[in-house]
Amino acid sequence: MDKKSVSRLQACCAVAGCVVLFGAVAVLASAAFSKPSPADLTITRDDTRPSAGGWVVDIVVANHGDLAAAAVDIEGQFGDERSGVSLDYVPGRGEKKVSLVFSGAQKPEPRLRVLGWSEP
Amino acid sequence: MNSLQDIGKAEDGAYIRDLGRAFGGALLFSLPLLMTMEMWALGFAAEPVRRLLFLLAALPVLFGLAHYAGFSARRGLVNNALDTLVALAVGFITATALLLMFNVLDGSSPASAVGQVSLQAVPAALGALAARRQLSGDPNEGEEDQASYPGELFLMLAGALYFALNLAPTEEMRLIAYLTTPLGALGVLAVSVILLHLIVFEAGFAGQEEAETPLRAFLDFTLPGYALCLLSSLAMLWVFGGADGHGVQSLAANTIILAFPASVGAAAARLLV
Repeated sequence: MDKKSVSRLQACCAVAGCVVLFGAVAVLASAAFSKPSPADLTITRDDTRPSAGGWVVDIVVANHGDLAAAAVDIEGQFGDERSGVSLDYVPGRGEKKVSLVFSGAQKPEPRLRVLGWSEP
Repeated sequence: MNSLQDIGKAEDGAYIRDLGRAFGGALLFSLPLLMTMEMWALGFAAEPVRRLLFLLAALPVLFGLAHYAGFSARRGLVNNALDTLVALAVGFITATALLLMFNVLDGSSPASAVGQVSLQAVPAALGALAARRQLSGDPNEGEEDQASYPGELFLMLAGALYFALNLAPTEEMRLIAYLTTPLGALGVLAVSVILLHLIVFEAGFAGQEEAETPLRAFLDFTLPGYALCLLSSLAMLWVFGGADGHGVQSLAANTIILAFPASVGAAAARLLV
């Protein structure tokens, strides 16, 4: 085999490499050179279901900003009972699902709020 | 005509075998990173400009590695460039497949997903290019013996990256740096330099034939090699956000701690890449 020759298969694989490289550079460059909006978190209640320990409230935390939020603390309050949960990260333009647990007999409709977060 | 077709088929067969080895090398090197939680988060949490620079800065390193190691036996500028691109394709495919399989790929935005994959694809491509050296069963594979002095230093840099990349994103590196006293950090620095020198001298780097004295090897290889380890460690810390918000002393401790595995990798470059 000539060590300097280029086969068609090799060229095809290199074209695939070129496509993924330039695709990745394009996506990252457009993210790098646009001014990112800060993290902006909202909470929506997804489902409330009974469990052995009372009630589980499934919620969705959505980040409408471009930057990721880290160490996100979320609190729910229903009557006198408070429940909380922490998330390591919510990616920019992404969402995460979490659950809060309430021990009362009545089906809860908690007031939900984000306590705070930090930069990653 | 038939014999030409046979030669073409044989070459394609050999290239497919090389590709298989490249996937093996990519998996071997990148699996620890693909299964590291910090790397998943860094894919979308690290600043986009750093993720972009990491990918772009990796290109000359991958090209150099394609020249000195590479996953196919083909050589020359064009083949090295093609090997680099194919290694990146192998890296992207390996990283995407495994992140999807582990269900940790964040698809909330293209920048998140591409950031996660590209961060993992670079070390996987590094592994793909070192595959022939590591997986061929022939320890004489590769062009290291013909490496010039700058080539030897480049191989030390590649070895440092190859070894330290697996540790750079982990929280443990920061914790060790925080727990280390200034005297302890100096001790780590001294051990790094001594180990680097001992392994380099024992491994018999090219050029050492003319510079046989330990002092000459120390000046020619150990000192510049350790400087490369420090610089590459600092660069890795910056990419992974480990340098942010640190004072000079704390940053120095972080760099010295990461330069310890980097110097072991640099010293063992001949065995690794």
